[in-house]
Amino acid sequence: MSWHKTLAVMRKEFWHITRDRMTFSLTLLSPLLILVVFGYSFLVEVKDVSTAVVDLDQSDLSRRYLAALEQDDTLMFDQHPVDQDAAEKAIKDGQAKIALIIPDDFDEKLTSGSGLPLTVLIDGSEPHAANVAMVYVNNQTKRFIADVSAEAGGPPLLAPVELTIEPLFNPDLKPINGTIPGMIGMALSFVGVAVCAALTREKELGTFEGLVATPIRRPELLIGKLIPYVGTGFIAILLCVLVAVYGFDVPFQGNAVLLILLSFIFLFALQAYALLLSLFFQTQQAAMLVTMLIFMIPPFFLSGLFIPIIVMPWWIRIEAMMFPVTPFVIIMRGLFLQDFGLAQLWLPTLIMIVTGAGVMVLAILLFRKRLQTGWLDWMLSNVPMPAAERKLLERWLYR
Amino acid sequence: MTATILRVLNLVWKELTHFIRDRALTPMILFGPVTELILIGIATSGDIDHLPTAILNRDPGGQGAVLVQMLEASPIFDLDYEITDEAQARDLLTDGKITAALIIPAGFTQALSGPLEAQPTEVQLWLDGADTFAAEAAHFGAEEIVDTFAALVSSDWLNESGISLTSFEEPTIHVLYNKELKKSFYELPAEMGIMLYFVAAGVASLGIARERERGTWEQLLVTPMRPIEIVVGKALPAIPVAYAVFLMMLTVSLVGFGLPMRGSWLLLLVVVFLYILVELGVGVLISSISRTQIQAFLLVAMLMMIEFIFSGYIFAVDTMPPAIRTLSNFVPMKHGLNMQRSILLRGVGLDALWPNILMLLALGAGIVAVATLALRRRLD
Repeated sequence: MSWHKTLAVMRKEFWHITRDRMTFSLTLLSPLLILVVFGYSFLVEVKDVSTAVVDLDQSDLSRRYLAALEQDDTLMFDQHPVDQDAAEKAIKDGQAKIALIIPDDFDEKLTSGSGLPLTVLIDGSEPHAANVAMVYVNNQTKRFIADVSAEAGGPPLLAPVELTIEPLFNPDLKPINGTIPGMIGMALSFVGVAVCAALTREKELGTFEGLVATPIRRPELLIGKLIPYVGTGFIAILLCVLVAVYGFDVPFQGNAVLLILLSFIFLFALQAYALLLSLFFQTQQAAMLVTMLIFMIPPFFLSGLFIPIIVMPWWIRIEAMMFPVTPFVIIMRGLFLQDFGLAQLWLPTLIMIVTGAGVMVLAILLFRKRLQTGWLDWMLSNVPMPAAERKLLERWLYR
Repeated sequence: MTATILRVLNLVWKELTHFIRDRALTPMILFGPVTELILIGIATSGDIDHLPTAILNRDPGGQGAVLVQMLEASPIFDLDYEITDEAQARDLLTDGKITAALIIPAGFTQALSGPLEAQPTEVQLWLDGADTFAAEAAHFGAEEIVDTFAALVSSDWLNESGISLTSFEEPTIHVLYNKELKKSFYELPAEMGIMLYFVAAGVASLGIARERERGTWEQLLVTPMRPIEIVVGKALPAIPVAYAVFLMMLTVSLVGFGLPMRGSWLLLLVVVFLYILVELGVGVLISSISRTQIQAFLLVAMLMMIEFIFSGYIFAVDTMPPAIRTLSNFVPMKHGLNMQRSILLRGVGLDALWPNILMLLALGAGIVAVATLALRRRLD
């Protein structure tokens, strides 16, 4: 292992990155864009839900009830169909998300205490908005009935038990605080994709042959190629952290040195995977489309960002932990919100190191300095099989 | 004209041969999206439940035990730990072993047998706020259980005091089209939309950028084909690929995840074809401004992020601020998704969808015009 040669490859790769300004800035900016886009979407509240109102009663009480529902801007009464059928049609056509139908005996039944005649229709095809609207209507209705009942001298309807919540680590239970730190890890997957593409590029353009002719050895070449991308990724992480702290007001409570150290480990693990994947591809097109599918989308659901890891069955948990982004999400949350140090974070850190190193070794072993079609070739020359079958397989592969 | 078509078809044939020959790319492009769809379907079908929970019951009386029993009966909580003090709860939360800890105070039963007008008794729920989605699920779950418990207690009170129970009614709410509010019914069409964009724009733009990067573009230019024919010929093969992917994803959604199909098949198939065409145009536009495959790819991915937020992939666009709502009309995926969801879930017909179709057509025409201009400048 000669550092001299590694440095030479590093310099070459660094030039590649910085000369191609567009790619460089896109690699740096795409993680930021992802962070801003998703961060923003968590700040957006469900508001002004289109509502169709049918008031067949037209009494003071029904008007008061509707006013109670309209007072904050969760619902927006913008459709006024004539009857229930028309209201259903409005929901079907997507003009209204919710319909309130007040029958003509609303006042009568409510004041006589014989029930609450009211039909609420909700469009379930958008579950999130539907849920918010449902909870809102339920709460406002309960409050309204309590008011009406108290005015009529009825029993006080106080709930004898109340739940108070005490969220540790995130006092206001803001979703954005839990999401943004972990999101940084996912956003960084772009850098992984870029690495994979850069490694495949040499193969596709044929410059790989030039490298083979040099006296450089496998680890020297690979590490030299990876370090510049680790650097780029690191700048991207720093930018993301700045956006998180100053743009989205996510508190950072942990240790900045630890953040830097663990970010480097994460980037190495990520790029080990990119390296391993790149061995399987001959063209950048394939490398990029496939790594995108592998790096971006499963982590979306397995990283614990949106679906908590804690509720997954153990075998999915193990699978999830194999993606370096999953332990990194735990680490980032720990650093941002929980003021954790290595004492609490040693396990995810260890997992990242072990999987990263393991994959890196595997990649170096599989990586051959010869020009090959990658894993198919490797299988072909390493799996024992009769000569006739080998010939058939070769013909199928290289026809 | 016939000559043009023949030349284009020749190129399409060449491209399809490339595609079929590529043994790493082809299976991934064809089956990758379906695999993603299955993953996402599984991930969004389940509720967030069986949250590991600790219980600290300081109440020696019966009411605390009743509440614990109700909690135990709920699928949302798994009572894994019984603890004896708050420090333990904090440790378990810090170690990430539990999502929530419920703390029932010492005088719980006594407080509940007090007079009607007394202050409400507090039950505390400690949460791991770092895992916000789990914490929220635990919060809403616990709230519902405590509400039910409170109603039980107060109905006992009222019965004892001889007041009849009439006004404890909740409004009847009918959820249409998705009775159980399944998230998967929302996400599956969304995933189809994003994957179609990815396949159509990705395959088209990378195909063109690749010829450029390798220098084979020049070779194509010296053939009798006109530049515009080359671009069309390079882009067209993405259509059958994307459409095949769509049919596979649709089958999996309908058969595997029980996604309903309530509208017209013909309308759905036509509308999706139109959507693929427009996204293909986006791919051509991208390829006209990028010189290398990495650039093309990163642009595809960045645009995907923009489509993510403006199309209602995660949250409905209708409930977003007016400025975003207006902007979203210029994002093809918004119309694509809206139409897919409307046809599949609500069975909407052409009468309500024509604005989406018109807008998609207009966007498509605009994109093709810009792409042609950009390409002409670059090619000549």
